[in-house]
Amino acid sequence: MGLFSFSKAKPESFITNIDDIDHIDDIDHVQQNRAVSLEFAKAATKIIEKEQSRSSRRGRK
Amino acid sequence: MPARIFYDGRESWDETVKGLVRWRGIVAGTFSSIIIPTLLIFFSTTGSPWWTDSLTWETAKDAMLNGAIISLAIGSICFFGLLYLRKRTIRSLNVKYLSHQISHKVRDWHIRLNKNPDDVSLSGALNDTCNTLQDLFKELIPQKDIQVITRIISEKDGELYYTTVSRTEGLSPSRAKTSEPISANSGLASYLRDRSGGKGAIICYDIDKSIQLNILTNTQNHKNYPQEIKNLMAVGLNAWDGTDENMLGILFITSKNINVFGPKHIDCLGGAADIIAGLVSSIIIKKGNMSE
Repeated sequence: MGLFSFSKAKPESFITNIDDIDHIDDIDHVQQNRAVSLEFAKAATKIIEKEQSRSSRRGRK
Repeated sequence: MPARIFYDGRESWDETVKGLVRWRGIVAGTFSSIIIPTLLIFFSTTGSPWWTDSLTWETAKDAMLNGAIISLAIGSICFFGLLYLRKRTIRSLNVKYLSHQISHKVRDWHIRLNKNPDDVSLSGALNDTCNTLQDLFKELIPQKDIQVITRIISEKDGELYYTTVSRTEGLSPSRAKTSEPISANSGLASYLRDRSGGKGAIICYDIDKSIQLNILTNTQNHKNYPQEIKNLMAVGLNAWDGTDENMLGILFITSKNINVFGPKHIDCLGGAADIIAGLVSSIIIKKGNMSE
């Protein structure tokens, strides 16, 4: 590449238009990911619900 | 001076660029850029030294007038150039300071969590950190409305969702009453989580079109407050979930203005997201009594 670049082309990894993405490459990996995070999500849900009910109780007071 | 101790770098603009961004530096720089051209123009346009007989009052007056106009023009350019340099220098230092404050706050929340987990709430920690992130983006993108929202992973009937846990104060407080979780299996969460492997950030330049394309979910809050979010950036909060790396949440930076965000903001957003994700992971693992 010279001192000045007049090309408008960007490196491939720079931007992907969202409507270009129309497939999932590795469906097994996706499903495995979801299974793994379920326990964590349950723990998070308990914490979020507890905090939300505490703040709504505080709001009513 | 062999050593100095610093607690805050924001005032260091006073020492940068040889002091030119200080007010006296700006005045001195402008003054010298008027005087030097005036002298050069005076001597070059009069054509002969002032002590020779050929110099008349008329030629000297013309030379001085020309010199004054040109040097004032050069002086004004220098003045506004230095003023701009000062503004950019101070802004750059403030951005660095606020980036430091984000990691500082996250570190403090980690300490509080390890000392006494009951003293820490997920929403409290996220609100506090996101307020600083909001300040950082306000500094990066001045004169624009900037808000920060976090959604954290949750579960209902075996399905995964992302639920809003914190939002900064510029958004309507009534949003909390009508807030609804977004599915992890569709729209933006799915794009970030599954299709880009948790990497990258999404910028939505047109909210309505993004909803049409199913990139964003048409939530009740979007219907109730369409003017509040016109532009947004979203990035996954990826960290340890007790078993593997996972997308534990989504961090949104939103604005009611249009054409606010661009690729130059992505690294700042991604950096903050990685730090915040670690905190989210620690809080949920610790408070949820999960094994690390």
